[in-house]
Amino acid sequence: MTAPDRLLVWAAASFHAALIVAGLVTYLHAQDAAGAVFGDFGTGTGFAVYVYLWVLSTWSARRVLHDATVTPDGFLPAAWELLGRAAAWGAAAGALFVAGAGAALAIAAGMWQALFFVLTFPVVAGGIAGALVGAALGAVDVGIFALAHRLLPPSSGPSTP
Amino acid sequence: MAAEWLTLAVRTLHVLAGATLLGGAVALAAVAARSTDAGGVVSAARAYEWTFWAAVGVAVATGVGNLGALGDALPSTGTGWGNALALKLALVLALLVGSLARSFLVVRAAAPDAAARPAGAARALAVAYAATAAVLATVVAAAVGLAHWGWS
Repeated sequence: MTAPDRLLVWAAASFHAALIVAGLVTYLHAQDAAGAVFGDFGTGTGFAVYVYLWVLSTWSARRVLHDATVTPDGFLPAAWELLGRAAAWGAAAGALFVAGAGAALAIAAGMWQALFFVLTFPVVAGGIAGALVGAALGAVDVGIFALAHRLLPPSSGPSTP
Repeated sequence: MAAEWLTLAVRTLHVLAGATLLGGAVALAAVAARSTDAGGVVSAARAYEWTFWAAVGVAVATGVGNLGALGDALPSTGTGWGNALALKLALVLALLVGSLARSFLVVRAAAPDAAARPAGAARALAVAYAATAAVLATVVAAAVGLAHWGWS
């Protein structure tokens, strides 16, 4: 496994976590439900969930982009390969997010029976949702990379940055 | 009392993150526009991008915390305040998408393969950071309005 560009991984992972949360807030605000939903979250719990999402995003982005390379023709790996990886690692991240966050909430509430439930069907559902979200975010990434490449094509010969 | 201090801490972090984002973008736009040292501009841009995305994470997390502190008192979309918040959120989403493209330009400008580096990258980065600063300034203006103006 080659080392990916760490800045690329950091930017993509941070973008994914921020876009998921900001998109969710925008949707909930449009439904006039943001205050009710986030008001029920404690500040510490909310931060912990965000940091957990950020860590999982970084973990999955590092695996999706493990051999990512900037080339004169654009970006490697190819878009379809990237989308497949994004869906697969998105599924893993989604399952881990539901398992981790659900287990923590169940343990904090002392609901051990709920813990067993959280680690079954919701984890599967989290994996499916994670695959869909991962594929969608992968498509967004590919589109943004293609746009950036088109806006500023590489020089035909040796150049200074 | 503890809740008030926590709210103040969250708001302070939110403002500091915003100041880091906007201040850095303005500084880099100015440096990239004037500098003749393209390599230096790219190095500074790479350093800023690390800070930028960290500050974005802090700003989003504390922004949600601010909304959560309002709870059921959060004005609806039918009010001026609610519409201003919707505008701010739309600008934030646009900022996120545009910033990933900008980060990709920075990564390309620093590509080890010389043929993959775009010509005129420093000028492109100057434009990208100026655009980032402009959107961020609008977001900050909306945030100031939300915090201090009694839209209804």
